[in-house]
Amino acid sequence: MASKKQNSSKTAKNAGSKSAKNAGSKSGKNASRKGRGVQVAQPKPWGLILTFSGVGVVALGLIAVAAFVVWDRSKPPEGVTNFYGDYGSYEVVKAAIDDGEITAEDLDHPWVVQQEHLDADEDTSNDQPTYEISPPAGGNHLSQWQTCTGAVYADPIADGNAVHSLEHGAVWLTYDPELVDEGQVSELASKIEGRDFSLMSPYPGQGVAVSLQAWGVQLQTDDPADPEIDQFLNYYIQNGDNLAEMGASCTGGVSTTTATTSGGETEMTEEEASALLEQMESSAPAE
Amino acid sequence: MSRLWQRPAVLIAIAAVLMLGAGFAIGWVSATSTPGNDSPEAGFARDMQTHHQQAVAMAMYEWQNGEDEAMRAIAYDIATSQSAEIGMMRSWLREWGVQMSSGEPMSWAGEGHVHDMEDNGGLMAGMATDEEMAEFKQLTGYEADVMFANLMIDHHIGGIAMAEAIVDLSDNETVVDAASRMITVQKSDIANMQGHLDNLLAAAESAGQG
Repeated sequence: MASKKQNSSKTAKNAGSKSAKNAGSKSGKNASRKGRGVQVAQPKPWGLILTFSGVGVVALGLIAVAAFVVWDRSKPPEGVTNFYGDYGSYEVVKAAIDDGEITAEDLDHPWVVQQEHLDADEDTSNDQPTYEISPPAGGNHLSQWQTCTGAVYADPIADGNAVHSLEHGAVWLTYDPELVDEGQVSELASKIEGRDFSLMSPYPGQGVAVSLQAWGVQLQTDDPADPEIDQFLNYYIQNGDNLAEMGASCTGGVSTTTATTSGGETEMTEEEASALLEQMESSAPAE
Repeated sequence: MSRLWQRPAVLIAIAAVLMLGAGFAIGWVSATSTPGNDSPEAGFARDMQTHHQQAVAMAMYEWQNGEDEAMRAIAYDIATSQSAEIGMMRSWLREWGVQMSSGEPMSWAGEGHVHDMEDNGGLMAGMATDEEMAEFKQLTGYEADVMFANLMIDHHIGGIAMAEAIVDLSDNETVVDAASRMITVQKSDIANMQGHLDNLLAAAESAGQG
């Protein structure tokens, strides 16, 4: 009896849970056919056992899948640098400020809530804004946004225009032309072209092959084929927790490019800056 | 352990608890994720926003630079109503907890639509190319009115095809209702724009002859 038991438990294990249902229905059929027979020694109800084990496995599987689906939904990629500190997102930090818990000055990076137009006042000295990080991922900016309807720019663009696009919920992909070859550039461009709320431009001197910016967050990678690039685009474009200006659009901005963007240490002369500004202003209405 | 198997009631109870748990799990997922990230509804809501954005940009330009009052009124109507629809579709996506953007436009509508898009230079049906938009934005007055009507009629025809695709694919009441309204509105817009365009062309012709 003992050896028989072992054998059958082995076969049951080998057969796996798939056979559980079959086993159950077979024993059911047999029972009904032999309806009148009297069974003296009750064998182990393997069919029943396997059926319930099978049900248990399936149920646990469904629970696990459900838990995974909810957990996995909309997660940012791992390599993201978040400039909101402990607050995590624009939504949360803004709520804390509105509730009077903190002021912008308490933040490590106050620029995540600075959204003024620097060229709107009479002071023209700050009309080419400079930023704490490079490429910038938020802060005061210019009144015109860079058109970001999946636009791929061949030349550098003005930081202040691109930051305004970030405020509109766009993701800005920048690459270092010295670290990325032509094939890789067109590979990156294929991710951006035609994708609303994204834009791409070269950023000489950024020192890393690819950098992705959304308002208050940044991802940098030396691998232009890094799967986190797609994850960043999927997660941060128009992300509801990270919208510095809800409902704004990417059409109707400027499409100006410049070879004299303030990349890192190099600073523009006042002449260059005012020439650039003039150029941008004159092209703004007609694009 | 072997005693457990001798009590079918215990087995039934365990199985029932597990099935109940599974039922809750399924309900939990479906309640928090209808429709899912890869659903046609989510795809439609994303792509139609992109499509609408361009219509709004065209209409805003016509409102500012066009001449014909009737055409400018239609433009105003399109810019405001499609902006409202963009907001509506954004809030769907947020409520459903899905991505606001995807790298695979029109894939929700099937291979045929994706191919049509590739033939159209990567643009969704009816959308104007960058060159067409640049050309349009050089124009004012009568010429802007005419080009606006032509661009927007094509744009609406493409938009109607997208809305019809989701009406076929979806049984989500909110989405199907909204898409059906878009079809109705855009069809009547097309008739109106065609009418005004014919008038404008006829008037220009008679002015040319006179």
